[in-house]
Amino acid sequence: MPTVTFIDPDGAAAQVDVRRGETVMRAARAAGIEGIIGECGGFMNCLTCHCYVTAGEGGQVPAPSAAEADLLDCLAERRANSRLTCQIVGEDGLEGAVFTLPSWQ
Amino acid sequence: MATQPKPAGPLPKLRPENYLSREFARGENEHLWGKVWLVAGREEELKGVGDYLTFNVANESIVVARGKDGLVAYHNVCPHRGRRLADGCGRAQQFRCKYHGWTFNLEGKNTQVLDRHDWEGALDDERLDLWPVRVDTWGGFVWICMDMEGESLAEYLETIPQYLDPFELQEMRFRWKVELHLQVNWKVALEAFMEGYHVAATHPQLIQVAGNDYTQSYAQGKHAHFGYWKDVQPLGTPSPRLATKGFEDPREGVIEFFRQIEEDLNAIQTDRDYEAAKRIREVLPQGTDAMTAMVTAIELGRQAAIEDGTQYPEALTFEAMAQAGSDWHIFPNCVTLPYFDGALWYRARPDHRDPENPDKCIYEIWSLKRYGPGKEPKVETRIITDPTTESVGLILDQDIANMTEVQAGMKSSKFRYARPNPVQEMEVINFHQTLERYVLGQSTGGI
Repeated sequence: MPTVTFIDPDGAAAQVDVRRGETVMRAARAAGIEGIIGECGGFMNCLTCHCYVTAGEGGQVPAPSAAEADLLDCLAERRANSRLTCQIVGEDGLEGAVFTLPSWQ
Repeated sequence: MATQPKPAGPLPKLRPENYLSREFARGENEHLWGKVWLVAGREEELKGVGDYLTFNVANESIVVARGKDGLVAYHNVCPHRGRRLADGCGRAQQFRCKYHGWTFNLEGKNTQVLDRHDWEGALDDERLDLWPVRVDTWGGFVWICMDMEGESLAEYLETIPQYLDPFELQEMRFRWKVELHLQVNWKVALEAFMEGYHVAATHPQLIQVAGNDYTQSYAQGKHAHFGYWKDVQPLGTPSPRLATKGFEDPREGVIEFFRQIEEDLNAIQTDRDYEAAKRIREVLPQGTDAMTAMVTAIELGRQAAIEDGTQYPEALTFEAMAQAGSDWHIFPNCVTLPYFDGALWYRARPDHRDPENPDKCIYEIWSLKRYGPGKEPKVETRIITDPTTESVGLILDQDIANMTEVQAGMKSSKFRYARPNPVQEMEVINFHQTLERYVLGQSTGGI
């Protein structure tokens, strides 16, 4: 079960275990991470689970699908590492990844 | 030779139906609100990209947001099945319909239709973007106009910027906000603040120290203002209507004026001005005349504002302040009373939850103040649904108490028309003349 880190806009860090096959969005919600809202429940409709993602020792975080990339274009504060956490699934490669929360979410 | 008596002018009359009839309210909803520029909020509410607010009036709801390239405004409705998209205010990266998940970016463009293939291309020639609304700013206010043609905001405001720009309302921030839900027509509420003729009878405590309370009022196109331009007396002295000579020490009269404004109104002049005014006891000798006492109190207030980190508005000379007067009606639904250090701003509209009901309105009171950098408070709107049980300060309580009595009184079978004062109540007279042009067309039918 990979462990990832969330960093809130004030710089405080929180560790979250992501069960294999579960999405990072749902794991964050279950862990009570403020700023991960996931209003639409995970079908790439709402942009409220957005984070800036940096891979950790586990290696690469899989790249976004074309549909996710299109949706990320709507973000006023999109960066190269913007992701929807509802599209990232728990697997070994996720170990140590860091998810930075945008201040406005 | 006997003096020829001045011929009587025509008696201005106002139709009670303008306040009481459902048909007239429907006429306003159809012909007024969609054609004029309206205040939707303050720029300070839309600081960051994605900040949005909603503004409901009549049957319309407008969402205003800060997009990547500035302010944007749209009709707040999903083109799919008509659900309102946004509610209240907040920050969003897109507008998303909570019903079926259709999404729109901050530019108003439709970005997602769930299962779009179901339409088999039939949506391709269909307009799916949000309907735009014109948006502009003046005085730190965000203005919208649902009519995509017609006057710009600058044209619409006519002479207002010329008179009020020197006050730099855009440099002010919310000091407090109240939203009253009242059982009166929106015009009855607004008109309580559109003339100074009521002050002697409604606010008897105020005319002990507010100088000469006799006002003059003038139309300025669609808008109008009133002021104290004749037989001016300094603040702190009693009204010439009264037998009293007022305070033996004029300094105490000036301080009492600032105390009343601070404690009984909490707006226009500020707490900073009141504290500064009290210092005339130290800097002026006993026996100082009332005019010197007033001017010194204002100057101390100016110095206090500068020391507090605000810039004094450079263009606001005594002459500019005098020319502007005390009170402006900004057609159709706003009134402001500006000062260098603060301002009162009123916004009235029919209650959007029952927009054809002429006996209901939403009445907002915004107290604005100049703050030093970063010193502005975080302000929540205080919502009052029963003003008989909750005070908004002595002066406003006195005004609000008139409103329900006016709304009820006008329904009397004997009350065929109102007879406004042609010198002091021109804001009200001009308001109805302008309003009737929008709602009824050029012909008012006469009364």
